[in-house]
Amino acid sequence: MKEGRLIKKFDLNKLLIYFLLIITAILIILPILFIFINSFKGIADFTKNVFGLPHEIQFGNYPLAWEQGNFFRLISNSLIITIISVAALIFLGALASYPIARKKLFGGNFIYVLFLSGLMIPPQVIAIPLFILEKKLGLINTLLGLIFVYIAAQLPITVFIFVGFMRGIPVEIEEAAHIDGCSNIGTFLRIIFPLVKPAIATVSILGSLNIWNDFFYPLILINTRENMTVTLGLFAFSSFFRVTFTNLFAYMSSMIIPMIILYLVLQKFIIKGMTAGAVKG
Amino acid sequence: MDKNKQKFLLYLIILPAFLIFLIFIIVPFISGLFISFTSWSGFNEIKFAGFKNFIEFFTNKNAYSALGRTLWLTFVIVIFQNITALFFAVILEKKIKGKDLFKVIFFVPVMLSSIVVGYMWSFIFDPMNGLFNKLFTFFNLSELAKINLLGNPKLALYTIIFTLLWQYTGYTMVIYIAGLSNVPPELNEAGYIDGTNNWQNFKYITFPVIAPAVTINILISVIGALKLFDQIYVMTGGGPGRTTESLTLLIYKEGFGASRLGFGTASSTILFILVLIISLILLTYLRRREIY
Repeated sequence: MKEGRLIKKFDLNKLLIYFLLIITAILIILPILFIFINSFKGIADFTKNVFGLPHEIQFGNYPLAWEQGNFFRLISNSLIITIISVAALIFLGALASYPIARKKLFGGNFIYVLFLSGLMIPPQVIAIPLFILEKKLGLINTLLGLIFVYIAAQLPITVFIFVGFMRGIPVEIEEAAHIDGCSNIGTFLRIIFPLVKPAIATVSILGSLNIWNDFFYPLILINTRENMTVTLGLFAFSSFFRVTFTNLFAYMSSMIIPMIILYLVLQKFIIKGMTAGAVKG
Repeated sequence: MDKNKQKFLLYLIILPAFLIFLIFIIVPFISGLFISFTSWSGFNEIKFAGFKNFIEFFTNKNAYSALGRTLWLTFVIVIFQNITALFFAVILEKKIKGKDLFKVIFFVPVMLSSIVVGYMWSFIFDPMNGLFNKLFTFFNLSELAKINLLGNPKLALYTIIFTLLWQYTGYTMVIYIAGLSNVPPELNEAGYIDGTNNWQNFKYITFPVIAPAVTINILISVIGALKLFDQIYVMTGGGPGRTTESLTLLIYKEGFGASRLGFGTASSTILFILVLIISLILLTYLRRREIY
């Protein structure tokens, strides 16, 4: 009698849990699906039939969004900015972290703390002076101007991850290299750099996502149509005269779909990288 | 001599990263502090104004309401995001069929750009053609269908908070799952043998072990909420009226719209002090709870 009640209660719990999980999963997928499906409707079809599948599949929204929204130019801008920034972050970040993590340098700890203080400076805190600075340096409206800012803005978390990881490498490995006559730089290049591959993966994933998805820095630093990133491009496109909802959906889907495909292919890697960055502290 | 050369080289390899960080973060940060004590508009002569901007900030209703609103939305987001995430993390840590699939799905919004998410929900909440409107109309609930979730001064802020939870709870959850995987199952079993129930086990065994994950998650969600900008900017632009205007939006409007650089940077300074104080309090308080 007692046991029977226990089993029943357990099943009910499980049912409830699945119900909650499925509802939440639907809540997450449905909005994305809504944008995607409606991107294949004409505007008339959309206003009459928001929920359903398109009465007649129209691909017309896509060429319009791509052409008027300058989509491919802006996607390449975003790609260039992200790739160069992340490459520089890995290289410069690892280089700078090595002496901080492994060597007793005068001022080394101060430099580390200064880097970490950057974690507490939101973009809006420096926005106004940064705009003035970039204008003075002639970097406003350039991809290079954004690249510098992204490297600088992502360095704190990058250095934090690299230093944490490098401190975990046994000293003996390095000492052995020194005894064998390896210089500091040689040890770094031959021993440390290959050993921090997991940290490099974390830095690349975190950095790429943060930079690719950023909207605020392009908003304040870029105002020419050719040099926008794809996020700012969406904002600009949405304010064009006569751009309809369905046109915008096509633009948004063009941003979302590659991202989701990439995510599905690399999901284990991405989730691990994103959590490692947070938990390593 | 060789040793000195080696030392010099070590400083040299820090230099490139350090210079970029110095020029593009530290220099703007310090000049911002400086500008906040002036009445500069970007064009006129730079004149020292003392604490005028700061006094104005705390006497200007728009400014101090933006500060209060920022604190309130941060509080709401942190509480809901962490409770929901921890709840789902505990569920998905158990042996449940399809848990990996749910984890993957819940993490999808983290991948999307905040501005895409902002637009997406704007369309869904759109009072004319939005999903919500049509749904309520379909069920003949015309009173509910008339509610403009982003146009209503009382609801707009919470609508935005909802979209934020939608986007970032998955991230918080995944960090909690990583923390939960550190709980040795023997500990829970030992608890059961001693006669504890599920809740007691969670409170006395699981929660202390995941304390580092709690610290990092609260910190991430606090800082994330304090610097929230994109979603508000594209969903309401701070409106209706100024009912969703956060500190970040105020800074943007003052600095880039009204060209009041002194007042804008003073607001920036206040935002920074806020982040600093809250982070330090949280770190000292939460770190004390950690057992490792």
